[in-house]
Amino acid sequence: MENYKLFDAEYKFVSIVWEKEPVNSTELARLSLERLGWKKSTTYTVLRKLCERGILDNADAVVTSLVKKEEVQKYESQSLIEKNFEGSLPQFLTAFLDRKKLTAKEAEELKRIIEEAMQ
Amino acid sequence: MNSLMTVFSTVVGMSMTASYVALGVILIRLLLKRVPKIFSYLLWLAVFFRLVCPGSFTSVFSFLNVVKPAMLPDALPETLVMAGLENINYAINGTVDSSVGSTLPLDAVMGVSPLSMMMLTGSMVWITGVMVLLIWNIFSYFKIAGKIKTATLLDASLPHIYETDQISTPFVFGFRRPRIYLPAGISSRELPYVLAHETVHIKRRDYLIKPAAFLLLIIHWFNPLMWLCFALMVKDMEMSCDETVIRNKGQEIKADYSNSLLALAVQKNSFWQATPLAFGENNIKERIKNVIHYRKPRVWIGAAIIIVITALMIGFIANPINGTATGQKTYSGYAVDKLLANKTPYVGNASKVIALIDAMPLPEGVVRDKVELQTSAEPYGITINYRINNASAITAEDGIIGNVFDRNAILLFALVDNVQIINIRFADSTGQLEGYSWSKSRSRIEQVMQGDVRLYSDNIGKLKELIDRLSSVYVSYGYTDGNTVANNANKVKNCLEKIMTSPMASSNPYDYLNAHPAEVETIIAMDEKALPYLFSEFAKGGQTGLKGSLMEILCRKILGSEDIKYASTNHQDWYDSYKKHIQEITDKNSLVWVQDHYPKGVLILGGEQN
Repeated sequence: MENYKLFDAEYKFVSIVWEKEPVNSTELARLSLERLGWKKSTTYTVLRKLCERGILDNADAVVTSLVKKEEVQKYESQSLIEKNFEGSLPQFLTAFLDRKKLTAKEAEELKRIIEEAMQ
Repeated sequence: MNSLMTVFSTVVGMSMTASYVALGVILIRLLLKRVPKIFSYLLWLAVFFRLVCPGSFTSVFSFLNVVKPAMLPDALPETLVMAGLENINYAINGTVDSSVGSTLPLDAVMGVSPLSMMMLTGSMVWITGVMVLLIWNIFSYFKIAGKIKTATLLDASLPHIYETDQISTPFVFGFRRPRIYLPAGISSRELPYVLAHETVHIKRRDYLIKPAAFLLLIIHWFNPLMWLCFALMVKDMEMSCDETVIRNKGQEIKADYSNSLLALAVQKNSFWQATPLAFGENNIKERIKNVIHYRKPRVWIGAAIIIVITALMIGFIANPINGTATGQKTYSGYAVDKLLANKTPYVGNASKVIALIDAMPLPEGVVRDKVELQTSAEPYGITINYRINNASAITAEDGIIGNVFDRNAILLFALVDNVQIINIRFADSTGQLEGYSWSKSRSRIEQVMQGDVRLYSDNIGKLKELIDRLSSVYVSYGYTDGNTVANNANKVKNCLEKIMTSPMASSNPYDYLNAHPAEVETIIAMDEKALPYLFSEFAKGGQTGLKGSLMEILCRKILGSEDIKYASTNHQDWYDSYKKHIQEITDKNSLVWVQDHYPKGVLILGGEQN
């Protein structure tokens, strides 16, 4: 599970893959330069590392993701709550909502999620 | 090794001068507390300049006029350095480098004097420190470069702003294409201020100035005052940068800007991470105070401050006027001020002794060559080599046959307290005086002058009195025992001519020698005093006849154990070979060494010991 931990830059990079996969590695390098400002060598280094960790796959210069966006997000939010709110979801929500005004639609959706979790 | 110690001494000299300027700048900074920081930031240029330039221009306006010139060396005293150089060379290669034109004390026991050991140790410690700091900083530079390798564009349309979660404070990084790096997740409220601040850094080239200043700090790492200067300079740089942002964006952003500074003030484990090659932000409290108090100065006040700062800068950067550098006073050809200024108790003070020699007049067509100082054992001596470039120098009324060298020697005895003997040697391109040399001892001079000449060195008046007396003094040339070089030469010449008169029929030189035992005995008894004439006759070349054979026998008898193995009957060639031999061992070891081990043979070098 630990290998889902992505640094900010890695997350942005994998996001491009999620958006464009399956993507040719040359094309990926071009996109990284354009969006992230990366040199080609940086792109390939990061790509290699992510392949080693089993997050991406590079077969015959075609890059695909092995881990889905939702899984990474799930891991991220969990570890966030673990780290900062002693694993307590209510504490997290309180802190989160303290700073943010919810739209009616967002509030409705939250309510629905909580109800589902209670069952 | 030599150049290292020379560089080290220059650095120490610059550091000392820079320390005075730095103290001045620090004091003025205190007075400028309420003034926009750009001015104190600019003031550091003076220290910067002092740390880079060993020399400077002179001006009456120099603040350093208040500091005694003696306290402001551009380098360590030459003697110290030279003592170091000579002895280190001697210790390491067994040679004394004659390029510095002197031979300095060699500690008999250690081979190296404690003074030069200190110089060597000092420069070693210094260069080691420089290396360690350099390597450490290059290392941390690459560490940061590695960290920001994966930084990503904040916005695809802003090609020079990157963000990364690997850093905790915003900074500018890069020399050729500086870029702004932001810690990931700066809130949109702080972002514009952070960007504004870093953009000013880039515009002002601070990203180059700071590393350059740090490089200087590395060179002057042994000077604690410079570390303080660097810290204060960085503070001024940051504060004036904050001020520029406020000036550009208006007074009303002060509160927000201060809040941003606060928000970004993360606790850093900065000591190990901080590298001067990137822009960290620091001392937030002071900076916030400074931002709150900042008022854009009125135009005329700004102008006034600029004028004052410029004047201060000139004051700091200019060198004090040196009394002797301008309008050198001479008295009947002697630069009396310079003579007094370079009065020294020790023969070993090479720079002063040489300055003294050069403050005295010379006949037209004579130039001073190398000066050697004998300081290893008594009698302490000065040997001055002169080169004669035209014949008129010899015969002219005030030339060599006049007593200009005697007068100069007497002045040296007056101004160099512990010198006991002064030798003068000539190299003569016209051939008349080639290899001529004579010596003066202090006792002989005291005989002639009827008293101690050192009593004349107290002040200008006394010195002029001595110079007045000298014009009527005549000291005969010669060795300390009263025999003159010319006398000796004549003595040998006469004996030799007599030996050659009979028995005319023989071609065996020993027949001639056996026929004139008294003359042979005279020459042999003269010992090394006979050699200058014999060598000078050989030096004319072509001595392959009877005279040459006699001279070879006599020379080799006198030289004894200093002679070389030679088995041929070409007398001129023996001389040439022997001279070559002495020259080779001189090159290999040193003149001092040869004088010690070949006291007779060394005479073959005559006046051309270069």
